[in-house]
Amino acid sequence: MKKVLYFGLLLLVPAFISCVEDLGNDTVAEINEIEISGIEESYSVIAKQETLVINPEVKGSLSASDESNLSYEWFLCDNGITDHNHYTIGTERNLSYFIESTPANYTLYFSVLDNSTGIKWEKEATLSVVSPMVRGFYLFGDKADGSVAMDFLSFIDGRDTSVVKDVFVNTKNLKGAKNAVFTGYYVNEAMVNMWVMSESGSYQVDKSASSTEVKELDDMSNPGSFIFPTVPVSQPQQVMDIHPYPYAKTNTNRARGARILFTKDNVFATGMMTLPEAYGNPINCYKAASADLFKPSKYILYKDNVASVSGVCMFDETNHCFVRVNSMSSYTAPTYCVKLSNTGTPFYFDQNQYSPVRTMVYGQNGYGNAGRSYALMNNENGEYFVYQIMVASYSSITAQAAYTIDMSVAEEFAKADFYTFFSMQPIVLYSVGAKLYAYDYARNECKLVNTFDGNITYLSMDYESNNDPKHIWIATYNGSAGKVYGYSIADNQNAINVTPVEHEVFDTEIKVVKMEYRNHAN
Amino acid sequence: MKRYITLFCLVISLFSMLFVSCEKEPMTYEGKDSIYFDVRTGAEWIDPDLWSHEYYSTVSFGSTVDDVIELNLPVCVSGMPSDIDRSFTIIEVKDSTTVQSGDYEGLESTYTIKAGETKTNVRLVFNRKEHMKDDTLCLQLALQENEYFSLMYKDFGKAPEQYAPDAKPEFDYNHDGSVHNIFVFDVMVKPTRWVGNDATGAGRFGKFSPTKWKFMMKITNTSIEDYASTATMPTARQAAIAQTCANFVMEKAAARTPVLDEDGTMMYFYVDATTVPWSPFTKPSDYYGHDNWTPYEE
Repeated sequence: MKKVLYFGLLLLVPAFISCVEDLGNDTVAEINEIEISGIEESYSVIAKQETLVINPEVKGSLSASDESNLSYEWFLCDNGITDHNHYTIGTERNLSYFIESTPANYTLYFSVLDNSTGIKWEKEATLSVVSPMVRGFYLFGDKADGSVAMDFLSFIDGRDTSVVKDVFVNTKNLKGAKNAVFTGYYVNEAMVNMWVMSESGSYQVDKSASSTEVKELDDMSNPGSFIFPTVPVSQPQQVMDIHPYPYAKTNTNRARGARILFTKDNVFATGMMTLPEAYGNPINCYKAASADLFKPSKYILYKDNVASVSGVCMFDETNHCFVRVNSMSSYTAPTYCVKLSNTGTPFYFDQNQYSPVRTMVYGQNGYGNAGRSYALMNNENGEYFVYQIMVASYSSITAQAAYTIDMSVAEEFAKADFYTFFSMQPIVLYSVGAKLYAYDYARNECKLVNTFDGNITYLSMDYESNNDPKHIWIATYNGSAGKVYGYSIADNQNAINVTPVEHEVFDTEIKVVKMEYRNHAN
Repeated sequence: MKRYITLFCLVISLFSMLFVSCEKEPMTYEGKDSIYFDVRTGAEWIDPDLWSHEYYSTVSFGSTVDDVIELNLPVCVSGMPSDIDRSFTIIEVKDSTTVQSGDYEGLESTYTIKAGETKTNVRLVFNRKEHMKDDTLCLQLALQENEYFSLMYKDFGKAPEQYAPDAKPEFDYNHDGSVHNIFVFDVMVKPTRWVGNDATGAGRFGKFSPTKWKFMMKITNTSIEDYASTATMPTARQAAIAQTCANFVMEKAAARTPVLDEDGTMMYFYVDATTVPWSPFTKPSDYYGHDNWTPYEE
């Protein structure tokens, strides 16, 4: 019995084991509490353009404004965008940081270390680093040494328009800038493209707005990778232009259905419903897959006041005739052209009807005048004519009006380097060297608008950036530096009134040959 | 009371036994290693260990312009790697082989599983020959048992988690791991980027036939490889090929020398705007309404 009792007592031993709580002591040392003020909850800055300046106040409960024991650090947290990195951007109390960071949303931290206690005190804010290259114009051209370069004329709401310099990474040492095209966006990101064309080759380039650099990607000089003709064509077929251009301020991609590609010698078309983008046989012919190709004008006409293009008009320089395409949709891209014919009122589509025969000098699409297009024609006698054409659809193209340029009034018209048609009134602007003229071909009045300090290298009406068909861009170059001017022309049927737009003068080192609008956040 | 104490102790003893276990030495592998063909196929993104074990291999000259095709046959052994080199032989099984001398080369008299390894590769090179055209030949190889290896895998099945092999009744009948069949043929098979319906004859290229494909490649200067992927044969290129072929067959049809397909009907191509003016499977006599025509010949 005793054994059982002892054994039972042994089992009871754990019941008497317990813990004693360490209650510590009540002696508390007062620490230096840091109070940070003067930092906003959020900041928004432009990458590669602006400097973030913050001058916070730091007060210690014991040290007051004595900073001798304090160390500072400003850093950015990318919130896990790239493996959750922290970037130190300052180690002084006052921050002055030129924004080198990639456009993104960051958390900005200001950290104060009290070296006497080893305690860190922090204050945070959100920092939105905005790309300057979401909306604006690529200023595409050459530097003084002839190498291709690009600036970006940046439009950001709430800020002055500014020029982001030298955004093109010219790794292939391209020379002789020719053209730059940004397709704009509509629904499908995969259909957004940007090309640069130069004498050294044509390249598809980085279209991203999240970078402040435009990088070369794919060599488009050798179109064997995306143009697959089964009829003989001259090689290489260097890409020179892509149509239709995007529409209006929204930059709506109109090359999302049927896309038309101009090479040096030919025109190709494809339906964008099936990607990847690729082209078959040239369409500058009168039968699908014909080897009998005509020389196309580099201008293409379509209605410019609509967000979707359903037809185009081109000019056959071999046979001197305006032509339409046989179809125009995502599924049925054009495969050949059809000669346009009419009764000659107000003008013939077939220029062989005239003696001497006329040919196309310049073509342009317009927003005003119900979206009419303009063709500037001339003949071997040195006479010039303006045709107004309505391209309602691929099968409905009509001659709207014809005018004769009075060469005795339109000063130096035949010498012009550039032309551009004002779509609200019968006025054509043209440049000869540094001089800008405006000529009303209905009222037969010519006006010298201005003589700039450098030759005009680019002249174009600009409807797309602001939905204002009265706006004009003019780029000049004096041999070492360039300027870009914004002008406006009054919608006045009784007078020519072309005036500079206040604050729209921008410096660039580039001889600008193309200003290409973009408005796309990705 | 003693009885209670005894019972109590017994319970404690039994309880203690719960915490006692035995460690048993596992039996090591015993017996002769087995040797077998282990041809595997699978997508790059899949773990190669999960690739399917294939019961046969094919050498298709109909889907390439190359005159030589290299084939690699992995041979594996079961069991642990050995400390010594182990040789084995492969024979051509004459009764089941229809390829001719010179159709292939590279079969060596002896192969070796090197010390420390459990696999090797048998590399064969096949040569395109005229007699292969429109025929399917077979080369049957058999591993031979020897002092190192047995041939145990007589019915090689799909391992758990492994992808299923390519099922093709005319080719996959052999499941003996020591035997491998290689089918050699020069038969043009419908390429990936052929666009056309064989039943209705509709679509840009219409019904597939080797004759038609050869015609298309000749007319449009394209190659077998061009039809293999979207990158080389995008929709726009399909359209361009159909356009050129349609133009050609229409021109010949107008000259009463219609281009005929293997089945004697007029070759059909669909083009958006100017498709050929006859339906798929139209006989020339029906198209012309008489027999005053002669088939186009190159």
